[in-house]
Amino acid sequence: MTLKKFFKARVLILFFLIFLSLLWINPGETNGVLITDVASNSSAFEAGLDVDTSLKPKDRERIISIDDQEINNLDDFQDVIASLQQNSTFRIQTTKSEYPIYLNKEIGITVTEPPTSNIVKGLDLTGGTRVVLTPTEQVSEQNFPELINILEKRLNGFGFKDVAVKGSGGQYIIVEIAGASKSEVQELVSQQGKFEAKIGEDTVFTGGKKDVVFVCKDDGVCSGIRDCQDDGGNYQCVFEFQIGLSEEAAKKHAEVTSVLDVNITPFGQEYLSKPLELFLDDNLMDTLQISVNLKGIETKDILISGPGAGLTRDEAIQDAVKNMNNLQTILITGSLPVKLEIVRIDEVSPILGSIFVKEAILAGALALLMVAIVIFIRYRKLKISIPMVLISSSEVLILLGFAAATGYNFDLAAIVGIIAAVGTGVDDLIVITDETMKNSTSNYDWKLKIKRAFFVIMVAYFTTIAAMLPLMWAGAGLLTGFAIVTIAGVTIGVFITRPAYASIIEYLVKDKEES
Amino acid sequence: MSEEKKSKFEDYFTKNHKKLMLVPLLILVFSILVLSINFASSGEIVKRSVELRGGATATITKTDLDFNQIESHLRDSYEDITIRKIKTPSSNIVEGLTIEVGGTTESELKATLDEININSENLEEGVELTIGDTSSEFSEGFYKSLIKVILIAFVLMSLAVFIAFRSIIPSIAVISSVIIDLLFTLAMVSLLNINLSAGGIVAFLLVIGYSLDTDIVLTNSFLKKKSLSLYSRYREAMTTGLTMTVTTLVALTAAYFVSSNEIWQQMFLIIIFALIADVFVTYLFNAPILWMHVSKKK
Repeated sequence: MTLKKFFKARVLILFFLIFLSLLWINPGETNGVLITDVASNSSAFEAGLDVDTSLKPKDRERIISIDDQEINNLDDFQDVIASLQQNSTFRIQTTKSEYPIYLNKEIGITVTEPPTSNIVKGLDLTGGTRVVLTPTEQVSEQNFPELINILEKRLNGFGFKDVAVKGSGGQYIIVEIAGASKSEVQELVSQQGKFEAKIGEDTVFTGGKKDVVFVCKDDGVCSGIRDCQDDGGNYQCVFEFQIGLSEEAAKKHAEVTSVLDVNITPFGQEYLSKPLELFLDDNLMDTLQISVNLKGIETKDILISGPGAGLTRDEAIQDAVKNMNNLQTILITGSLPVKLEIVRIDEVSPILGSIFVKEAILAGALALLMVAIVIFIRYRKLKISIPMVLISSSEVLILLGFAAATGYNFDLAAIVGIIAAVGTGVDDLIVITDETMKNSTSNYDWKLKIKRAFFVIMVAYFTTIAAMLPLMWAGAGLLTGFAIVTIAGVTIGVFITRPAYASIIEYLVKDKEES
Repeated sequence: MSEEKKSKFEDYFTKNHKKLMLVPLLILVFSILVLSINFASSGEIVKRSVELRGGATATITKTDLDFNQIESHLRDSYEDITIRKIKTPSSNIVEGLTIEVGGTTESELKATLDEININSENLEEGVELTIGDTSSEFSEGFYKSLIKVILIAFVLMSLAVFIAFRSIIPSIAVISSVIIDLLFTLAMVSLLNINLSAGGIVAFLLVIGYSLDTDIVLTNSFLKKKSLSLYSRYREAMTTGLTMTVTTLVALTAAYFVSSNEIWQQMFLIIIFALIADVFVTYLFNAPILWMHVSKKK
């Protein structure tokens, strides 16, 4: 009797896990449109809208209505946004709150279709850019996480919200940015971002926390585009932003400037004999004249400036904003300890990604149907075929639940992992069925049959694990996802779903035999 | 199967199981021959995709561009090039084109495509051009690390088999069966001129797993079911094993026909070939060895 109770517990555990998985995946339609990005320095950002990618997809903020006009799809959103007038106020109702927005610049909201589940689709399926980087010099083990950390901060600083940066084997860094094009990413990730402010040969301060304690960012008062000029069909803009120096850097400034001479320009302005030169990765970026009243002074407030250019005024402004953002981020995060080199870059088309998702669902359903047919032809019994197919489906469901719960990015490799796990799952169910059904007239007891079936299953399980483990660390980490999903899949299968199946079969088959 | 038929096959297998081993051995000889001819002529056992040897790739989606023009222009520009339509084997709808060029960079490929006016600015709405590249040092390292994974996985799984069965000859038989399956599959990849990608190598890992499953069932049956006759042990293992193989086979074949993703197609195809070979190898190679081993012990 106790044995029977134990078997029942296995089935209960399975049901509980299926229930949990459904809860985690939380499938179902949602209304509105999902906010995927809010540009910094936009009207929406100033009104307090932002994106929190740490939330599960279904918990993220969605726009429900704008000025009482319901937003049900992307077209609704585009129509309403197009009808808005500059310098007017409107209200955005989201799932969290209501935001009154005063439109005085770009609105800056990017949206997409609302999520239908909590499964996060990986780059292969949503489209975006994946870059594999390697340091050009040896990096110590302690510095490697630091490198990843700076890179991640920097990419976030550039305004990419959906960024995944992973290290692999102390040698490679994989950067995945959803929805970004290659040209946007390429330059940013490979830039070391070594910033130096020099007067003559002396370095006054460099980028990073040690010298720069404050950087004005996303604030119209102490940062912005100051001046745009038409330079014969070519526009030039200048950006400016305030930074705060540390004590040490300020002292250095006083020390270096104290020995400089004073020059007087033809217009009667007095400047020091040497300018402050700003270098980014050893390229001169801007030259700032130092006002005479800063000579020998421990100044902490410095105004940094730089250029932006374009064929139209708008383009020049955009370029200047981009450059400013880049420089601000570099000053905040500091430079990367070493230069990184791109060794592999892939751009994934979002169009193909969505085709692959549809195909994966179709292929999965079709494969399951085919398995069901073969199983039925072989056993000719619905009470065996139906539990088998249901158990296999439950393995897929639990794996998806596992992915949703851990926020794992589901990609092409993970889908193959599911196929692999479920494929061996069906094999195991067949072993259990055959071991228990065959020789049903002989005097083998049930426990022995189950034990024998699970011997085969466990050997197969350990060989699969043995095959997948080395994959976790190899291949620059590009195949880690596949290995994790497969291992998770077979483990859940061997310890939860397949024992439950054994109990179900025992209930359906053995009890009938005895009676 | 009727009783009479059953016993006929039983008689036949009992008498001829040694001769039947010729079939899998021929498979082995054929595979080695194919692989060595290919190695002699090209210096490589199988062709690697650009991902594993360095080069650039481009994808154009939903294109009604002149496929022939693109192809002829690219072929004039590069020698080492593969162009493929993205479509499922079961339909004629072309979702796009993939272009693989060995030993070049994305900027070069971009420039070449630009010569025939294919660039992101010129394409109509809803059509996308994506280009990427892999450095040859990285891909070479990537390839080597995957080969290392296969070898480590193989050694680990051999160990697992030895530990599970604690018997030398059956374990060696299982491991040899896996090797024959792998070699045959490799030969098919080579014959069909498939450019092996990282996904394909992962498929070989799965082949090890699937191929083992049936061998384990068989070995278990021969070594553990002592109350049954040798033939019954064989037949029971075969019924179970064939059901396992056939379910996987039909599932993957169905999936193969509805997927347009190149990596999936390659992975499915590789496992399908391996499963077909596995049927012969498991029941005509591994089984006779076990049969002889167990009857000798008696």
